[in-house]
Amino acid sequence: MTARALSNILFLSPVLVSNLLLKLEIDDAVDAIPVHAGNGIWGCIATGLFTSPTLYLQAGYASADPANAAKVSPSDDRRQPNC
Amino acid sequence: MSGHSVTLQVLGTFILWFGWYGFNPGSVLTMGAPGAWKVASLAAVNTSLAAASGAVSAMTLRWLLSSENVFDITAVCNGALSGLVAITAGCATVWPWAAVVIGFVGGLIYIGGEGGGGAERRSGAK
Repeated sequence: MTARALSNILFLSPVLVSNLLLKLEIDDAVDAIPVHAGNGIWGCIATGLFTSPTLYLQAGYASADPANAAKVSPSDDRRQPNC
Repeated sequence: MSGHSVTLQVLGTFILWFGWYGFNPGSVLTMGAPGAWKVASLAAVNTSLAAASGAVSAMTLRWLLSSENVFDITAVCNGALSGLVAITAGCATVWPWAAVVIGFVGGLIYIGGEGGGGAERRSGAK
């Protein structure tokens, strides 16, 4: 079920996009919609799939784990998500 | 594609690619905070890797789908941009190996989205 949904998002919808551009006669001469729409969606999904907890803390975000929610990385003196 | 300059397209792609280093590492907003240089340099590395692997995967998939035995420079340019777009959301929080994977899939999604032949096919030009 999840795999079916994921493959629909990743592969079926791009094909729909291509046919939609043809049907609506959108003059997308530089393929801006396939580049930005498809990969914008993929980038948002991939961030959730691949984010490392270590790097998440290093980047200054508070821990996603509720038990450690108060723990903020040492570098975090510019963002204060727990205030 | 007639009426269009591929040379200028490559130039524009590299201008965008260069500008992306002001976008992803620049989104850290400071180099003065302790540890901020780590985040910025990781973002720069991820940006480079995702763009490169997006270019390779788009070029390869276009070549596999094409009836002619040529490598399409348009697919390379747009594949690199696809990798850049795909890594932008996660560039500060993923390891470089994941950036390669994200860029690679980004190139495949681009080729899927433009329908195998790009704007040239949709316009009916040959």
